[in-house]
Formats: sequence, C-alpha cells, structure tokens
Amino acid sequence: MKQFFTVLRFELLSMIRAKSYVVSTVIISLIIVIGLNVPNIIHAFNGDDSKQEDGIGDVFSDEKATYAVYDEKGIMNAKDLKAYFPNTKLLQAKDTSDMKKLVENEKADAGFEITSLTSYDYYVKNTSMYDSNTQLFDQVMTQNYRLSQFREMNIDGNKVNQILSTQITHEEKILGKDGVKNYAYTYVLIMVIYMMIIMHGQQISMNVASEKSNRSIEILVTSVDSNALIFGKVIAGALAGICQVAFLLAVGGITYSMTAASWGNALDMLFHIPPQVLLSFAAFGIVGYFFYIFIYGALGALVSRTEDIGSAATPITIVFVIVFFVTFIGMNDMGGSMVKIASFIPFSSFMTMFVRISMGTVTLIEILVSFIILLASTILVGFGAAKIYRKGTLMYGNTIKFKNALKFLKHKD
Amino acid sequence: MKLEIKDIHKSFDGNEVLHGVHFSVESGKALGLLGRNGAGKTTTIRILMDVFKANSGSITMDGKPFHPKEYKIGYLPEERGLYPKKKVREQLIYLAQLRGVSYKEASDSLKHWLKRLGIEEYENRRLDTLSKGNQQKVQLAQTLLADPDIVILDEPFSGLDPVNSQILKDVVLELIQDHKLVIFSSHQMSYVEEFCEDIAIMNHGSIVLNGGLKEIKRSYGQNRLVLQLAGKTPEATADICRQELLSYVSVYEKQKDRVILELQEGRTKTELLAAIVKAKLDVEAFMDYEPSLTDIFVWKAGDEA
Repeated sequence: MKQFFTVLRFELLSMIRAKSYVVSTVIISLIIVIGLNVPNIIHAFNGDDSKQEDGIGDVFSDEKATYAVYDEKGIMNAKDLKAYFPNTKLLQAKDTSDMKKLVENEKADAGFEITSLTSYDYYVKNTSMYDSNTQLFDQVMTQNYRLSQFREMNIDGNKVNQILSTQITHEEKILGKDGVKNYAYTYVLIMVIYMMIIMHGQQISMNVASEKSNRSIEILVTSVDSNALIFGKVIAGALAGICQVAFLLAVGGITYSMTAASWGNALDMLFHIPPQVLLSFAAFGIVGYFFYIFIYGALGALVSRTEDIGSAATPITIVFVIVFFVTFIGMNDMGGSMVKIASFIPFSSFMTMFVRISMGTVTLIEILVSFIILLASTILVGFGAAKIYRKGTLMYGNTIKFKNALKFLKHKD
Repeated sequence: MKLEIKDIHKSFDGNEVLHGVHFSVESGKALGLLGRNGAGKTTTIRILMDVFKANSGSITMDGKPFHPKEYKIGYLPEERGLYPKKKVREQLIYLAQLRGVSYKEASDSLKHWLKRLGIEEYENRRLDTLSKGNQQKVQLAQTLLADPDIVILDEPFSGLDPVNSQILKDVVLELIQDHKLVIFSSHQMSYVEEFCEDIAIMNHGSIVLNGGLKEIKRSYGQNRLVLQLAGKTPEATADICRQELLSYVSVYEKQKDRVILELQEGRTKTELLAAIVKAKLDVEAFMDYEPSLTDIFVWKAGDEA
C-alpha cells in the first residue's frame, strides 16, 4: 500500500509539472476567459454608447446604418419609411446617379431605388455574406404594398394587420426533463469526458511504453509490485485530469459570474447545472474514465517502442469514438432503443446513461444497475490490465497482439 | 547470510527454460553468475527477486524461505535505464522510497553515493544531459542508495572508462568486505576472477559448473602442465613433445604462445622434467597449468560443451 502511494505521488507530480499540462491548462483558461468576455470586448471596440446595456441582441444590429433612397414615383411615404427604420439615417437621393455616388463614396451603406409597388433596385458597394438589408426592405415594401391594396379595396389595413399578426401563446408544462435547456450543458460535459479520455489515454499508454523503451521498467519491476505501479499511474492520471477539469470549470464559473450581465444571462443554461446532474456526471464519468484508461495502460505494455502506440491503441480508440457518436445521436433521440441498450453496456454506459439522466427519463433502478455493471466491469478491467501490464512490460520485440495478451489473463504468475 | 537457490524449474508457455538451477551465495563472498546470452541468468535473477514465480524449486535464506520484500536488494540489470527527462535526485529518491527508505535517508544516501562515485555535481541535472559513463554511475548509485543487504550487479563495468572502472572496483570490494551478499555477472572474466570466490556457470538453463573458483581451476588444471620451448612455435613444440615425450605426456591444447600437456597415467611431473632435460630441450617455461576462467567458460558453455 505504501508503494502505491509512493508511485501515486511521483506520477501525479510528474503529470502536473509537465509542460504540456501546464500550458494546456493556461491556454484553455485564457480561451474560456476571453470567450466569456466577448460581449465586453465588442462593446469596448464599438465605443460606450446607450446600446451597451441592451445585451447581445443589439450588439450585432445594423440599425445605425445610413441608407440612400430614390423614390421617383413617390410610391413610399417618407414618414412610413422613417417609421420602419427608426434608428437609421435616410438620405433622399435626387436621382439614380446621385444615389450611386452616395453609395460609392460610402456616404450611404446602401441605396434603394423604388421602381414600382413591388420592386426596387438595391445598390451596394461590396456585398457580404451577412447583408440583410434586402430582407429588411422586402418586409417594408411588402407591408406598404399590402396597405395600399387594402386601401383600394376599402379594407382597414391596420385591422387586417392586427389579425394577421396575432400571436398564439403557449405555456410549456415540463413533466420530465427540459431536454432543450439541458442539451447545452450535457453536450459540454460529454465533450469534457471525451477529451479527457482521448488525451489521458494516449498519455498513460505513452508513459507505460516509454518505461519499456528506456528500460526503467527493469528496475521498477524489481522494486515495486506491478499492481501498485499500474494503479498508481492510472489514478494519478485521473486525479490530474479531475484537477484540470475542476480548475477550468471554476475559471469558467467565476468568469461567467462576472460577465453574465453582458451576455444577458443567455448562458445560464450552461452554467447552472443541477447538483444531481453533476453528481451523476462525476460518478459515471470517473468510473468510465478509469475503464478506458486501464485499457490504454495495458495497451502501452504490449508495445516495445513508443512509436507503436498509435497502431496498438487504434481498436479501442475506434470503439470509443463510436460510443461518442452513439451518445451524440442519442442526445437527439432520447426515446430510441439504441441509447437505452448502450446505457447498460460498460463501454458506453458512462456517457449514454449520463445523457439519459440529464435529458431523458430513467428510473433509479436503471441508474443503479447500469452503475453497478460499469463499476464491476471497471474493477475486472483494472485487474486484467494489471496482469497484462505485468507480463507485457517484460516482453520485448514486436508488438504483442491483443488476442495473445488476453491469454495472459489465464496464466498464473 | 547464506542464500540458496535449489532446483529451480521455470517454463514459459509450456517451454521449460530453467532446468533445476541450483547455486548458493554467502555474504562476504561474491558469486560470479556466468553464462552466455540466453542461458537463463536474468530469468533466474527475476525469480530470485519475485518478479515471477518458479514452477518448482525453492529459494532459502539461512535455511528459511526467502521473501525478497524482507530484504533490501540492490539490482543493476544488464539492460538498464532510468527516466531520461527527470532529474537525477528526483528519480533516485523515488526508487529508494519504493524500497522502503524514508525521504531523509534517501537524500543523505544520495549525496554520499554521488560524491563517492564522483558525480555529485549532477544531482539536479536531467539524466539525458549526462554522458553515458556518468549515466552508468547514476545507475550504480541507484543500486546502492538503499544500503542493500543483497547486491546483484549485471555487467556493471559496461560503458565505464578505466578510471571509473577502478572506482567501481573499489566499491565492489567494499561491498564484499562489508559482508553484503553479492551476485556478480559479467562477460569480462578478469573482473569475475578479481572479485568472486565462487562461480556458477549456466548453459541452456542449467548450471553446468558450480563451486569455489580456486578449486575449479585446480581441478581443471590437474595433471596438466605448461611448456614453452625457446625459439619454437607451439606447433613445433607440440611436434617435439609427440616425438620425444610421447610416453610421458599427450598434447592437450596449443595456445597462442605455449602448449598445454597432459601427463600420461602413472607419470609424474618430476619424471617429465627429467625426460625434458634428457632430450636436451631448451625450456623457456615449465609450470603447472592453471586454466583461465575464460578457458573454463568456453569448455563448459561453448558450442562444443
């Protein structure tokens, strides 16, 4: 037991002192802080005006534009036009060439030459992907056309508009989970566990293989029990990963608490995660993490050179990626049988059962059964991996095939 | 302390690699464990250190079952390495702690051994920044840091220059004088002959020779003599012996600069000497033959063994 803690301390310190760990934590923290401060940064660039308290919706509004209008036939009423663009400057062009000059000289952002009740020419210097001016003006012209037609038919256009624009309201009574609201944080948490397993899995494999490759394993196997070695490494990796995730979540949480107002609290759904969801994420996530990391650790013992890790780890990586996609598909179809079955298979249950808990309907019995299966499987995989590790680390040469490695499980020491 | 390895058999996947290995080691006397590559030395050592279990046989210390965890064992494997990107101090203390040494003891011992081996300036350097020879010395420091009762050194002189070899020689002699139990394995027979009182030669998973080195040399030298004739090649000397001394000796072996003769049954050294004088042969050297350990090794573990 003492040896296990010695290994754990050594491996954990090695991991958290590693440049890659520190740099990745710092970079991701910066991305989170900068990302959550985007509204403030944009406001700072756009200057301090009254729009600042309005939130994100108005930050991207183009209502401060200047438009040129040429309406030779007087089709549009100038007052009506102004009403449709309350915060926009409208310049009345004398003729088409005057309007073109205004646009070319950038005195107007765009120009509209109204040619008939139902058509206009749109003049712009350079088009862009996000030009919504024509959509706006289409609405204006549509409204104007309808009102003029209603007038000719002696119909009160305003009453018609009222009827047409009546909003149907509804109130949502959620009897189970709010899948829409929960989707965001469920997606983020699934991505977190996915990234952790991919990154740390490769790391553990590399760690084990490098001890074979640099021959330090020759001293280690004679100094310490191999179970203490592999369990120490895997648990150290888990702790390092959990610390990193916890730190990043804390950075995100603290930053959002300071910038929530600038987002108009739009990201509350991401940061206000119910405690039971966090608990199930922790329980299933940690056990599932161990399940895969033990496998990656055992795979590292099957190669003699670190360059061979990629090919040795390919099968389990493929399985893991498939599990990720099954989970992702399940998030969009919670009632499907695929996600239900997957929530009991140890390879996938740590993700899919968590998704069912977070977004779907699942009974406590199902959760417990799934967790027990996952936990028991992880313990078996852990001891199996330790056995493969013990035998594999003293064998050199070509990469040991996985089916041959499974034979190690039958051997007594 | 007396460590006895008795009748160890070991198989891997149904293939027996150790066939009844047996030898013993006493503290204060080093054992030379010799054998060709693949003879089974490393497997035997790993069984001794409980890396894996023997299929049958026993290992005892002073008559009681031997449990490696109850002893401090310093092991320097032939294929060896440490963490290249870690500092010397950090990893040596870690390895000592794995062997049950406290941090303080490990730290003090580290300073002592680094100084003793002349590498104290590298304490806080990364291992891969050191030369190969200095890395070897770090390995040796690792072996001795925990003040082991049992020391197993496999090719410890590999990669060391003559000065560092001398330092290591002194260290090994100190270990023996301190009554540590030392198992020494090397293909450099001169070192084995220098340190080891006992030897055990392995070949194809079996012990083919085992015992005190002096006694073995004497028994292999029995009835054999060295003859060098002035101005004669070994071939010419052998021809002369066959012509003039046939009733006294047979030619056992021709070496680079001398001939080894074996006395015929019933003949004595004195009689042979008288016959040589009578034949008026101009003798340059005439002495009892003491085979070198290399000779013995080749006889017992060579291709013709």
